[in-house]
Amino acid sequence: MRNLLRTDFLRLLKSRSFYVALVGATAIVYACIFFGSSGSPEAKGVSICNVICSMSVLMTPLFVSGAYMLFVSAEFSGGAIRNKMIVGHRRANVYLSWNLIGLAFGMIVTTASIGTAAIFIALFGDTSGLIADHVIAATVIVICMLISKLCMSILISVIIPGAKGMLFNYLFTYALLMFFVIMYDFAPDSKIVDVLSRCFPEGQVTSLNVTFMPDRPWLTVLCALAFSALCAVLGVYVFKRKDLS
Amino acid sequence: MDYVLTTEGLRKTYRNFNALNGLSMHVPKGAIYGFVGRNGAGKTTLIRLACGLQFPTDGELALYGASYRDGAIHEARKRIGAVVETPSIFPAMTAEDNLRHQYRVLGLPNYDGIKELLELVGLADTGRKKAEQFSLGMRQRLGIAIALCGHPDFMILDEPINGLDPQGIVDVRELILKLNRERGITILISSHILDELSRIATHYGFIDSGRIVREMSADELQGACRKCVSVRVTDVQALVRELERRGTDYSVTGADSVDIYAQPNITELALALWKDKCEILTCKEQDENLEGFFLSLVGGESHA
Repeated sequence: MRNLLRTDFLRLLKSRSFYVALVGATAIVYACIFFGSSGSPEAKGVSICNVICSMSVLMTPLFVSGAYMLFVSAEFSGGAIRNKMIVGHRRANVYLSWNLIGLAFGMIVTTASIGTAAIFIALFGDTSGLIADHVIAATVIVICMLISKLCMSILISVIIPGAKGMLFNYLFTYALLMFFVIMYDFAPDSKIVDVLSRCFPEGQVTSLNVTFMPDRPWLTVLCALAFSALCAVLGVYVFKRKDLS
Repeated sequence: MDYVLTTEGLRKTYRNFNALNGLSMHVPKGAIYGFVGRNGAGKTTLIRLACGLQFPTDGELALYGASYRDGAIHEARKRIGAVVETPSIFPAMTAEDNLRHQYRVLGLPNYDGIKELLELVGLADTGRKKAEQFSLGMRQRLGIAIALCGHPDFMILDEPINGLDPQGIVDVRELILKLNRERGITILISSHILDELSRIATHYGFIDSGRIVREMSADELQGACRKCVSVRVTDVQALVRELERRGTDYSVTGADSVDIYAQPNITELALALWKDKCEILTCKEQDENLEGFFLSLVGGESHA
């Protein structure tokens, strides 16, 4: 397992998709800062953070998961995945290594984008309207949504490797966005929709902000992490039975 | 005899298609095992199962005595290297980076030996050139170099000379012989190019419709493919006595048939046998090469 983690991490550091995701996700957050600077001076910090929240909870996971799907798919498209199996690595370990490196990837990108943006706002912005509890809760939820999206995209990569998988991921994201928009209108009190919206980043886009404390943030964290674990278990199950060519 | 890979009654089914149909094979330690069969006979399927890329539907497969159902198979797999169909490489990496990656996969403590491996397969001067810019032959050789990382005892090569130019074929052939003779590596090699296989293989397995139709050593095959006159007689003992008297090389192939490895004067032989009241029933010349032998085993038109 340690060999796999080391191998995957070093390959990640050398992959183009890693740097594209890093720069892209950071650019999105800084675009939010510069384009979201209008409004009353008192509301500046809050409004910028709200824009960052909305963008980070959807765009960052989408961007990071897309890049990571490319990273995982490269093993399938070049056939290099076979080398891991031939020399006796267990499939569960290979899959878990992808998940753990994916989480590390997500954390690095989050630190680079949201982390540096937070420092930038703290140093140069107006933070008077910001409440620490709200910001921390929103940040934790953004990270959980990133984990959830990554775990799901790795599962998709194993089931549908390559460009088809990425296309499916984007179409699925769009479908989920539409689903939540419609369901919030037609079934605003549905418990099922509520739980689902706490599992997927697409369900948090309209509700996550730093103006108010998110509704039961612990439940959102629990739902997102449980969904991530489910994706990981399902992924191991699928990958252990997958015929590789 | 020690066997590196054994299978018994191995089956692999894809939906309604039986790719392997009760296949039993035995790859002896130290051998170059030529795996011969038509397209779609099940060669690559067997190789995928042996490499752990797919799982058998039924039957038994063991590597170094460890069944694929046991956890010990993972340890046994550490002793093998393989090139399955196309070389398993990262196209965006250089040859050296691909080998470094495989060293890390194997958990080797350092990168010693990468230069030697690149020299061994003739890729030492590729520098910063990425694998995606390599020719098919270079990729094939890089695949072999990756398979050689970690000094495996057993190498599985699926059609390793496909797409190679004549010089490339000679290079790979010499490399396989070198690995077998100098490093004692057991090699399972599948190929359609039977003439090429016959130059290196020490053992053969002939596969047709997902099952092994015959396993034999190169000596046995040579015997089977030897030019001879096949004679059917009414009294084999009389014929044997006459051939012994003449000092002619022969082998008894049935209750009434003998293969004579010479060009006897049939009239003289018939007259000599008639003294013992032995009649010659049929007499035909046989001259089989590996291709002919393969076709006689599997029947039908050549696809090999």
